[in-house]
Amino acid sequence: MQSVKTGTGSMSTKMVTLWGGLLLSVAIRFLLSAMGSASLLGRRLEVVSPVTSLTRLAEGQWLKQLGLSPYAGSVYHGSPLLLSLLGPFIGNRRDMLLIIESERSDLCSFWVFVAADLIGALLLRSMGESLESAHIHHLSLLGLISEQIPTSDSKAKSQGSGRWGTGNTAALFYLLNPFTIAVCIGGSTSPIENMLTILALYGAIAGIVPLAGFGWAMATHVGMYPAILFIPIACLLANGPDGPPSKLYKSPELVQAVHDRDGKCSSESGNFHQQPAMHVIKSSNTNVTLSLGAKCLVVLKLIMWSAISWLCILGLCKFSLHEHASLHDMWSETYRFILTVEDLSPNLGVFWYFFTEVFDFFRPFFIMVFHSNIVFMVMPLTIRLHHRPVFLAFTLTAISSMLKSYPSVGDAALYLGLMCLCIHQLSGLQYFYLLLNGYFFTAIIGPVMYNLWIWRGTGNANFYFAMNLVYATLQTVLIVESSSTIIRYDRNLKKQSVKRSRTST
Amino acid sequence: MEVVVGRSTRSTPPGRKRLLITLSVVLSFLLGTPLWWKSTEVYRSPLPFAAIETHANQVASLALALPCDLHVIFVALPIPPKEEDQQHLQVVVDQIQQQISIILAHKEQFNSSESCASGFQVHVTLDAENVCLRSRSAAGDQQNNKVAKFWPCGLATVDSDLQELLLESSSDDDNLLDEFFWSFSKGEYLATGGCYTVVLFDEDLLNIFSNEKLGEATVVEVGNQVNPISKEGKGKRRRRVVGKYRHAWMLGPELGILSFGRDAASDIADLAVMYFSHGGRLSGKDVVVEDKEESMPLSADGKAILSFSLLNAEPSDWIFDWAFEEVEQRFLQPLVEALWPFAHLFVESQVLYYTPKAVQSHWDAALQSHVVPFKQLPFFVNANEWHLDSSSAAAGRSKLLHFAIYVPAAKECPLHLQLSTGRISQTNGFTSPGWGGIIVWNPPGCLGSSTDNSTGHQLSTKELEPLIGVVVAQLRTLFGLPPTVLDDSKTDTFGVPATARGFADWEVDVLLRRRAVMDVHASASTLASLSRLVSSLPNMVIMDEIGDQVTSSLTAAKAAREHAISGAYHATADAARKARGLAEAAFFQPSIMSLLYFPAEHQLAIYTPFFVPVLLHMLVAVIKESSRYRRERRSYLRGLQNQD
Repeated sequence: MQSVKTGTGSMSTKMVTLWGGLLLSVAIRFLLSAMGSASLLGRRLEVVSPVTSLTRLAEGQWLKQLGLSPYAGSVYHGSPLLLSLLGPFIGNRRDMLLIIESERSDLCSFWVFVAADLIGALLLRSMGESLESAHIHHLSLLGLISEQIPTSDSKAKSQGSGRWGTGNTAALFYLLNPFTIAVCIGGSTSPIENMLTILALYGAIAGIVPLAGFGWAMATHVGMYPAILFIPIACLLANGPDGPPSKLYKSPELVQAVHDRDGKCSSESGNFHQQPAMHVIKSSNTNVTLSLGAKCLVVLKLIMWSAISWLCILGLCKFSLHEHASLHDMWSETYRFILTVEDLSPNLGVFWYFFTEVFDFFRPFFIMVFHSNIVFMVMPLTIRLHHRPVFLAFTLTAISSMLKSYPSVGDAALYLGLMCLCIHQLSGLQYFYLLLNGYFFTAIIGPVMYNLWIWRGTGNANFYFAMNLVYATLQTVLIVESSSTIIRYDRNLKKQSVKRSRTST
Repeated sequence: MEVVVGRSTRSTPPGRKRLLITLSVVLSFLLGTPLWWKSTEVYRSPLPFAAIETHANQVASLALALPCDLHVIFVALPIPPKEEDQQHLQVVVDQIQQQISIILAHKEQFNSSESCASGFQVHVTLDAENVCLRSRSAAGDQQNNKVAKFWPCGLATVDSDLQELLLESSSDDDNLLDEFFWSFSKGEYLATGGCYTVVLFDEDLLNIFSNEKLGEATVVEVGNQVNPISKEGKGKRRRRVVGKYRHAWMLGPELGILSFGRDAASDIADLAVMYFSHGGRLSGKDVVVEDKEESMPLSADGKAILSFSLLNAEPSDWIFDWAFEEVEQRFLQPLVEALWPFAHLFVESQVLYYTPKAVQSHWDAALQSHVVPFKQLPFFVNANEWHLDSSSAAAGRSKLLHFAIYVPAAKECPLHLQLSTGRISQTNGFTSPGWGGIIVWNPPGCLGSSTDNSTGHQLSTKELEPLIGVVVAQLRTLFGLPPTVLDDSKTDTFGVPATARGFADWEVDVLLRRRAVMDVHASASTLASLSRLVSSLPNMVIMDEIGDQVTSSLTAAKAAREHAISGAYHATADAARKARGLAEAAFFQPSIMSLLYFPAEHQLAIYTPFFVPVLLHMLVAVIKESSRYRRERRSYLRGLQNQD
């Protein structure tokens, strides 16, 4: 059982480290971009997918400037809003592949993505702080740690305390993750997509229902797969941030122990465990039984705000597309393109290889099967992990990034960032060494195999697809291991709290 | 969650969470089942199997055959109308009919597909100056408005042009006479097929004509010229001329209505059967090339592309170019139009460079030329370096006929092809059945020191004209006709070459009959194969499109039969072509092609890799979880009892 890492220095050094890390990440991005790695990364299929490619976006923008539908020619498959947002910056990206680039517009688009990454990181940081305070709060409620500060204002104090928090780790990890960096400078719209997803989760964790609804609607509009994050967002709004299963507070042993304790040392002050025990019963009451109506209200509010956001988004899309294209075109070129896997060029996923081989007759069926793999895991995971919505969000994001039709490393950047938020709970993760090396391995051997297949001609598609399978296996191992770690953690928590309350009685 | 381990009883009811999780997975699979059922449903459009079988049986038992009419016209001077004339005509009809059936009965080797239905329907007309008497069969048809197609009367009363043309019997004048008959009968004949006319001029009539002429012009030489026919013609020499439309004429003895005999009837019957019915291929000899039947160079939907290539073997010596549009307009367009009733031809052209032939020639001092021997001709075409396939033709199932005009290099310039007899080929070309034809064209003055024309040289239309003539002859050969209309001196039969169009109308009729019969046969056999295939593969998806195509094909085949009975040639050919094209399209439908080799075992290979592991796990989990829940629940109940 780990305990919260305590600070190693004063508050100012924490801030210096944090801001230094932010600056460093920006510097790395700027340096790589100035070295012209954008043209190199922009052609990597690991970095850009048909849905997120900025080159395709430039094509769409060009078509739009010509007064045509941006979806004409079936090149651009993104949102019209992204086109309006990013189009002006990358108008001249037509000559992106040339070494001589139009510096100004490129720099502009560069800063947009860096800003998206920074915003995402800062949102992750504040999410991490809320999670951490909730974590400490729950632990102290269970009597597993002793808090110096009373729990009522622990949140406010822990932010200011000298503790090097989860939030900072997550933010810096997100920013310095090579995947994030590659996606940021490689000409992909993934940073914005990721930022929107994080924004929705942040809105949920902070209890800002309109922000959560808006973030969810935008992320879904841009990327489609965040649609399944509605459930963790609703859980977050209804149940609050991650905590131990609510059943723990109702378990007879614990309640018994608390009652015993209460009976023993009735109202003596100075007992650290009395107050938490009172809280246990209180919180279990407030969280589970009392506020059921409030929960429904919050979820309804979320639905309402999401609907309003969707209406606004569709209105803006309509406005952005003018007369050139209808919303129907937009659906068929974005969601339908994603769902029917029309582009079978190689990518990180497992769809392309399978659908080049499958009989045409079975194509619709297997498309359905592949997509339903994501959907049918939502319900069991929700039942199992609904008390840990952020972890649930991580799991769902990881699953969808593994099974989506056009994945890129940008999706991995997102779920690794979210995973970092649960670092306390996941500290017992097994096979960490294997997983880390697996990521390195695929990051290096994957491009090598692709090179062998496409450019050298000495390999074939199986070489590359084998690496995709390794990558998918790696992600599976990661998801399974982290899920079981979380479950184990909860179980441990229960055992320890029961033991603690026994010993204390 | 297992709260208490190692106890036989438990105080709390067992949690339902694990069970719920397992059941939710099962539920999603159950939800997916109808989708699976729907998306992998084998859709089979109902095919009219019974109708296909009936159609095949019909074709097998009674082949489609187009009817032909033979109209014999006696041109005569004014005769006093008699009562028995009508009977006499009937006798003539019977005579000719009998002769035709004799000829048909004796020659079983006739290509039955191109022959007319039940021989010929014979009609006889006596076209005298004062009377126009038709045989009963013709008169009977009159009520059906069918006689409108027939030759009008009054040939004997027209001006003396005819007489002049008749008397001068050189082959140039045959053409003029043919044109005269055409203009005389024009309007009655347009766009019909299967209606043939033989005009008979008795020598007595000619004598009278020539006497009139002598009397008028007093040119002795003319009379002398005519006399040999009339006098020596006593030895049963009848001059027979087959025109380039649908008529023929005969000059000679015993061709008057009164003097008509069995011999003349046999002659007429021979003409009708050999030429109008079978394309003139049998005339003179009884050799039949039976395998020509299947080799009509057309695709299933009756289309073919004539691809003309000018091959410059060695451009460093000389380069030739052509103005092909002009050639196409002038020479090929009439031909395409003439064949349009049964074959849709399209023309393409290209000029290729660096196209050496694949065989070596040798210098023959006796012939003063480079010679490619007959045995080497199959290897003449250089498939590696002659890129003859042009872009538009390469796609689809259309038939491609190549006509390559080969310009040899300077070092082997007068290049000639040697016949099997050892002589030099006159046309300097050869055909390859189903592929096309090759013509070697030697540039003029290639023996001389004309090395200066290395620059581009445009072939003029005049230079190309003989080449196109050879091409047309080759095309006729490819379609199974003689290269030119045979002039058979043995039977004194002459043909008028169809100079503008390359194919005479009656030849087009022959080919049309053949093609229509083949089309209907092919449609029947293709549909029969399709129905066998479909019933042997129950897993095959049959799109609605295929069902529609099959139905339309059957309808078209039925229409072809009906049109054939009424004798509408063009409509029959159109319907037959449609029937075959649709049948082929249904058979080669891409949606069934991919499933042709899709046995039922493949289903296993498709489903097992994903579903067996997943479903197995799910099943195990369901069993494990439900038994676990039951056990825990039992222990809880026991605990309750113990408490009580």
